[in-house]
Amino acid sequence: MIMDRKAILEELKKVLAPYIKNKELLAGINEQTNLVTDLKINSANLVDIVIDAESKYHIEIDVDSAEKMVTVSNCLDVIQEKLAQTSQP
Amino acid sequence: MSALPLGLPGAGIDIVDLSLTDPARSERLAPKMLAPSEYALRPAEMSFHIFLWLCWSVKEAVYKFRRGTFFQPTRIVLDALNRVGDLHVRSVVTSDYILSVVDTPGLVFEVAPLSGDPSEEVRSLIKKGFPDWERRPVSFSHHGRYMAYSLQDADGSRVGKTDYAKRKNLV
Repeated sequence: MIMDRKAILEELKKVLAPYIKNKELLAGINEQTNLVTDLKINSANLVDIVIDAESKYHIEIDVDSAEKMVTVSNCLDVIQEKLAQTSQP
Repeated sequence: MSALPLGLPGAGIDIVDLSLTDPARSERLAPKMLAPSEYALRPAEMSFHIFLWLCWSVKEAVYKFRRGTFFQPTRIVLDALNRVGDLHVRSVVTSDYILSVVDTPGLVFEVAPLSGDPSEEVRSLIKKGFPDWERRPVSFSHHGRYMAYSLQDADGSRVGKTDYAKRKNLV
């Protein structure tokens, strides 16, 4: 699947949305946004986000990669990397 | 620099509001939350859903006790449902929530309903019993309808302020 970073970000916002109580925070998301400290996402929901992202992008996110998903930028890096792996012949 | 008294053990507590967990997702969540060796720890009478979130809460409590910087659940491995390495963890499982707390001398913990801002309410709660709480090792947790704290009490005389009437199973 070929998706540019902006397109991935738009889809990622949809993945994050159910886990953000204050919807105003959703509007202000940028690459530097931290999932826990900025978006106030509960740690239990971080695992939900990983499996929702797996479904959304048809990828598998291993434990080592999930560990890197601290900021939105980190999430985009991981998703891009996994998408690139799945598109390889 | 830590403001906590030297020589005292830390504190670690976690609460899971079960109404915010979905049994239908347990199988998919499990590989992200459990180490392979932990599956064998499930008692026959315990549902996989409860087992999963019990393990999670134990791991979170231990993580907070160790004052980690990033919680990766599969890296904290339970040796038993109430033990991680040399840490003993007490857990309360009710039909509404699961609470886990690292056991230490003089342990005090309390659970209460949450209706507003979690950080304000839990500090208000702890201040009532312990005006000097900021000078103690303390841990906070909140999830959904509940908040909880644990701390070290010098004489341990006020252990277990949580609502034991609702307790169904103490692991």
